[in-house]
Amino acid sequence: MNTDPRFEQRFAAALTGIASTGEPDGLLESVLTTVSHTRMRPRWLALIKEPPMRIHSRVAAGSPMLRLVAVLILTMLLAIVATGAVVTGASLLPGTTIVVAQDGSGTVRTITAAVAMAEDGHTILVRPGTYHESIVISEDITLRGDGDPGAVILEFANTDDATWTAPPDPGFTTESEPVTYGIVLNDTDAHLENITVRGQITADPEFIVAAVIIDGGAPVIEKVDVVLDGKPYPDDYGCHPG
Amino acid sequence: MQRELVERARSGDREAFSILAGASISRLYAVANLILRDGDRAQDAVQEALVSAWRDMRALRDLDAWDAWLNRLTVRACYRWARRERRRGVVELQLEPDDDVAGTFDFARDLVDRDDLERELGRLTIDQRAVLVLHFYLGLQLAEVAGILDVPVGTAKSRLHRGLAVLRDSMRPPSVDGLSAERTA
Repeated sequence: MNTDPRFEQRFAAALTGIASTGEPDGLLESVLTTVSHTRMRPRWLALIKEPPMRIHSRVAAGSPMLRLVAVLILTMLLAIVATGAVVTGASLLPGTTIVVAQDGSGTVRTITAAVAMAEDGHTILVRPGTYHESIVISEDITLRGDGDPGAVILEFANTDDATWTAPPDPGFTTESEPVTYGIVLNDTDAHLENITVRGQITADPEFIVAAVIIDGGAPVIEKVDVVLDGKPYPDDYGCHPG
Repeated sequence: MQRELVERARSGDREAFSILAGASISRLYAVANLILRDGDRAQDAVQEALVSAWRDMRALRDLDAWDAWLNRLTVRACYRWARRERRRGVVELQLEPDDDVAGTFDFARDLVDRDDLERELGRLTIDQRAVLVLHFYLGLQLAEVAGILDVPVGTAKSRLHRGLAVLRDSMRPPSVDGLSAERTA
């Protein structure tokens, strides 16, 4: 497409002409008051990439008949889900609960296996125990510890097999670099609840360790404790970006 | 000086942060106001951006990237506010052309009619406005704009051209002597 430098110059000048100058009364004070009550996040606890900037358009509802069919299907699904079935096979339905238990009494024995099975809307219920794993969640699921957060522990190792590479991001990282993780929430609106994530900080200060990485999406994290080098990390980590 | 303040703020020095915020807040508010076209929402977006900046300051590795980072956080906050409005069913972000005034707008006038330009901006999508504001108001290169918006450079360029085309269509051809013609609306 052709450009018109004169038009663009005039537009730039006009834009500057209508731009506000100065700040609204009280805005800075309001910001600083909020900041005074806001704790800083440690970098190595969670590497945050803000959700991608997409304006999600509403999907226009179809014809009345289509809407009726949709309501009927939804009603049938809700009726099935209402049975609270815990299934052990494939073709899991929304609302399905997958139980993880190390003693074999659940659906699977590892969280990794449960995550591999789970799809949007599913719940993974993890029975008490220490699970030596690193997991990546990319679906909109709920991962919930069964009972007290201290009883359900995901312990991750600093290994090359479990690194997440964050894309370059102005201000954050000047180049892509691997981060060792316990849990990656990868562009998901997942819920993470009632679980302890445990790991070790390496001696190399340049090596980044993140108990939980939020890479896009708008996950909800509740009652998640982080323990690094045997010490609980007392951070208000119930963050909900976006 | 700014670099030193950023370093202090990153270490948890709220006073340093307040100086940095005070130095940036007018620019950020102007950007947010141009993108959102709503003063109240612009204030909310700037507040959200600056609080995010404080909360995640320790993640800021490049001390010289402070301004770029704030721009990014502010634009992202604008998108979030626009999205919230969209979810609440507010759909005034893109206005329908007004037949009575479309085609009568001329940047060449000595005194630009503020209401007219704001109306023309309202005909653009937020994607187009964000690119135009970052490129023409902040003077950022398209590659930087694309980085802030998390889109390929080609997409940023396309939004820029489409936005300009919409505005150009609204312009009355200048009269022979270079002065704008009288308005007929």
